[in-house]
Amino acid sequence: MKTLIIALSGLLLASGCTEQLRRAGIDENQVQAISNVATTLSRPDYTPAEEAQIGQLSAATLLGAAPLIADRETMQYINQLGGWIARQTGRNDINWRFGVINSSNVNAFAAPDGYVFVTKGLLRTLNDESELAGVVAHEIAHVIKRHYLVAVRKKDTTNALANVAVTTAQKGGVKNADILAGPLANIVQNLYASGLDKGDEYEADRLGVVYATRAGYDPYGLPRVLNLYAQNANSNGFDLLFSTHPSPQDRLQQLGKAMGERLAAYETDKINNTAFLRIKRKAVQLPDPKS
Amino acid sequence: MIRPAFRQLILALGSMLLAGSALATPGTLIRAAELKADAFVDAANLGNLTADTPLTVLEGKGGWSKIRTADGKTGWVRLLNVRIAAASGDGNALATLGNVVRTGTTQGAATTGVKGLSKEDLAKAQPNLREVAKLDGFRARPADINRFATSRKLTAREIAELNP
Repeated sequence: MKTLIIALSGLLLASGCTEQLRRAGIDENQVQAISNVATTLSRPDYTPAEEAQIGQLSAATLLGAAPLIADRETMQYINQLGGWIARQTGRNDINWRFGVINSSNVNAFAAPDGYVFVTKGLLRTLNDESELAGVVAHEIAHVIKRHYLVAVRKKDTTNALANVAVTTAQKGGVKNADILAGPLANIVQNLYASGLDKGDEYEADRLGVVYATRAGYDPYGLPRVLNLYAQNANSNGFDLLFSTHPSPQDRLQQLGKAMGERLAAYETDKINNTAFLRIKRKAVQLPDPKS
Repeated sequence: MIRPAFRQLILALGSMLLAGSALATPGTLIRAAELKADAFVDAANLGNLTADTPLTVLEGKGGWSKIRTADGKTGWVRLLNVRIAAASGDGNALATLGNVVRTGTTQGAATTGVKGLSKEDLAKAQPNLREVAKLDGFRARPADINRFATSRKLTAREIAELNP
């Protein structure tokens, strides 16, 4: 299919037969659209090294806006919880790293190459560990499905990373500073500010529920979080979450269709929340960093 | 150096936040369902509700929501059968509490959202590689992950992926 589109659009553009196309009811915008798709598809995938650099840049952008929580227990907790859920995905080859960001905004983020973040504000808002597991599993799904990489690829029309590599080859390889200053940094920044496609979010919701349930958590953790988001629409700290995701009502609608009663047998409220509540209490008491 | 009175206020607010957001929220039943006396399938049936019944969500538990109907009946329905009304207005009790904790006053609530990870903060952000490097030091070892799971009696289960 991919090859066909590329071949067809190449043929259309090369033949320059826009007049015939117009008579056939195909306008120039449509030809251009096909051409754009073809360009995107024909560009080679990022190499693993490039993926790691994009992941690092993405994580650095988020942590540049707000730093990690400087609390060892909190950081170990999120890495153990995340590591346990990541085990249920069969992707042990990914270099999973989890972090809690010291921001009162309620949100969670993923970045290529195994980065997953939740905010202090999210920890403050959730009620139990199954809810946190649902959110972390949703972000893990974004990483596994490469949603951010594909989105960056679409916007990276000039192949910024390869250009950086070429222009800095003489200087002995790509330096982090070259990437941080380059056009890719803007792409990453805009992506976190504008969000992924709706379809990516729905897919991450479905997979997130599955991963969390595989890990032994209540399948309804993530649906409860979505309900909680719905209850907090227009609340302080939820702005970016709402502007970058489909509405919680739409997400619950999609998730309800996919879940039905299929996972009802796994429902549980027997999970020990002692550690979660201790971490949450710390999150409640911790002030935002001074800017 | 926090004054005792202020410290008590913080602790009180903290425990209020910890209690969760038990907010009564308006919603609708999206498909016909039995109103259950408790949050499980075999619980007594208190009556049949029709689709589009307006209701108030009182609390959540597992895959269930405790609701009250307009005529005052209270009971449990499946969480995924309830759709919470798209909210209007400007915030709620939880957000107001957030303001107090953050600024020490209920006046002048920010309209651009909490500082830290807003769209504006992201646009201004200078990439911070030092913070990223810290993550490597917190990576969980397999033995730590095993301990985490066993201490909660979590066991892995085989679950097929869901179709859209």
